[in-house]
Amino acid sequence: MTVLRLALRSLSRNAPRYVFIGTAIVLAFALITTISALSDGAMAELRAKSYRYFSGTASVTGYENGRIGIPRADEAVAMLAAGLPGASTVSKRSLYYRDDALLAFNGEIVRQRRIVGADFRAEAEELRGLSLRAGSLAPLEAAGSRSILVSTVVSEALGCAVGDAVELRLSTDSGQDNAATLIVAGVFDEGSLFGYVSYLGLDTMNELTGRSPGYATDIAVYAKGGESSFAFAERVRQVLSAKFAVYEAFRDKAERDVAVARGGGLRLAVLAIDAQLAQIGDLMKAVLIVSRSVLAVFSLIVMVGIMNTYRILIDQRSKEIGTMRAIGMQSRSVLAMIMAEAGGLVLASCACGLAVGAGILAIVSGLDLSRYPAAGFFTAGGRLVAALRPGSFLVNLGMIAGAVGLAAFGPARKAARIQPAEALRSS
Amino acid sequence: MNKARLASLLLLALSCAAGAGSLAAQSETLDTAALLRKVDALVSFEDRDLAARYRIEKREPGGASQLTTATMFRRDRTDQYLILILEPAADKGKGYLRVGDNLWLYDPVGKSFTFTSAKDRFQNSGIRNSDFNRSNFSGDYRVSGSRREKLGKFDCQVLDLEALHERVSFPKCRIWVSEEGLVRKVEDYGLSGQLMRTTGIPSYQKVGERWLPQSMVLVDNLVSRKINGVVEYQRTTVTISEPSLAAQPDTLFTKEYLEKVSR
Repeated sequence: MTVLRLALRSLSRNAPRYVFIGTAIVLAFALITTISALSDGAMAELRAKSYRYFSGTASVTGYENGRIGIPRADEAVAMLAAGLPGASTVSKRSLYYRDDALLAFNGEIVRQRRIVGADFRAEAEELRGLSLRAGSLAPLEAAGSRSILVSTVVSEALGCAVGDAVELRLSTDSGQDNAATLIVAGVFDEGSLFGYVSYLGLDTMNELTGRSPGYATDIAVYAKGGESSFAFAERVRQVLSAKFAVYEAFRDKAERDVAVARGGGLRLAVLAIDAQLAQIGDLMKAVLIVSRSVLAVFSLIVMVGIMNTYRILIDQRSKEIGTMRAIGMQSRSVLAMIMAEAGGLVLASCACGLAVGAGILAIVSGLDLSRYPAAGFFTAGGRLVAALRPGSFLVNLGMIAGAVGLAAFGPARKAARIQPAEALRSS
Repeated sequence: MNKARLASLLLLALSCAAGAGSLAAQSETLDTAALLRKVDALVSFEDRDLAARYRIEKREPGGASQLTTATMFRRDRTDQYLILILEPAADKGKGYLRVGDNLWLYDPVGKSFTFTSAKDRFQNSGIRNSDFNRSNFSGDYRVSGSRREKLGKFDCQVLDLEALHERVSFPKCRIWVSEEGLVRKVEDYGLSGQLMRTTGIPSYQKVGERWLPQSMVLVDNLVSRKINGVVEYQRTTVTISEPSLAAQPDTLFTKEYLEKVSR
């Protein structure tokens, strides 16, 4: 306790000497915090969009001799709703997987990557996460609704707005042409891959594709959270395997496609969201590895600077330390005191660094990146989202603390070895 | 006349009337079925090979147009055709080969064949690959309704058709057949009943004992734009010229021929 008190007193008295080190730590922590928060936010945003696009934390798709569909979907939904703890929503979907769907309005045509027929009442909470720029989801919750939800990308390309009648052209499951006039109920903010998807009611989709009422190609299963998507998907498989033939667990979509290509009778494929995002996840991991490597190098540079500065500081304080040694302070206590000073400096500087980082994040989050198509994966409304997870914060703090500790240890050990007589004799 | 005899006479009269009505309905059904067969027969070349030059111009509403010219060889008795693209230069050498139920698209750049569908659009125009098949209304559709209507200068029988199977592009259509048995107009409908395409065939040319459209206009009813207060649709105009019934070698309807001629 005495050592701690001494350390804090020494820290406050020698504050002007620690300005350089403190500033370096503030900047380093601000940089690390900014990068971590933006990375975490980008991944969180990507996952949120992916849940809607890829049908939940775990998606269930039925395959039978090349055809996609789940004939006893209601039974599967009931099994999952009753026997899967941790599931927040289980809902049928009727997806359009072919690439010939297009929307037409006023002479303009936009091809659609995917059209999702969803149960808007069952997935109300998840679909409300769509950032609506105009309109509402309410018309789509009505049975037999002839409404459609389009993205800003589609809306701008077609020149359509809420209330306009657009033509949706697609083909039935038997390959015949079909079309329908649908009213735009809402326009959601979205670019990139997730922008070339439209949402309409499950029953409407089934009618347009010649499927029977209530038919489902997929089941969207959303988890409450707190477990990995792979673990959740495995639990979904276990529940369904009681009454359905289920494929083995897949690490990514490629594995699933190979298994499905073998054909055979009806089998359900369960795919975790992280398997769906395997390629994007690998890209993000690569970006994180590079950014962490850059931060590590930056920390090393800062550490070397801090170490040199500490050496100078210890030299300047040799008389003070010698005096403390002369009046009975042990070398262990000197070491502990200087390390405690470093610790206090780290905490104070990181607190300031957090504030500076928050300021940088506020500025960066305000930048409009919507003109960069790839940015749509990770942004909300064209803007980066910051989300600093407690785990990331502790890792960052540990990294800075470790770097400063390492930098201070050498000089602190030297200080602990100062001979009182020599220190007092020196001028 | 006692009541029993009166009842018998009444029953007999009713039976005769029902029978006459049924005969009339059957007769009409037979007439429309026969009409469909006549329509098919007039434009099919079962005993000869057919070749012709196609000029296909697609025009967007109020916008650009795109021109494709191609040569088509057709052998109806074996359900084969071969189409060779001549223009535009970027697509020259591309070809479509149909043999039975199989349809391939040949890409001369990659020297590869891709399996394609009869329901797909031909060169992104308003024509479908299936439109090059021989006419088979009588085999693909059944008549669900008919009436008479004047279409321009033509007195037409209008037939509402419903597909008998799922191999056709449109599950429902309506055709206007003139007195000579030639189709003058076709409306194609989707499963939802939405009008998707309208085809007008104002003129035919006689080729041997049969007929071949001289020009056709296909309107995509789903792609439209209002220009100066007038709704304009995406329109594809097809002009068929230089018809020939010269016999073609069997080797013409092969992949090897397409590869050779594209070189």
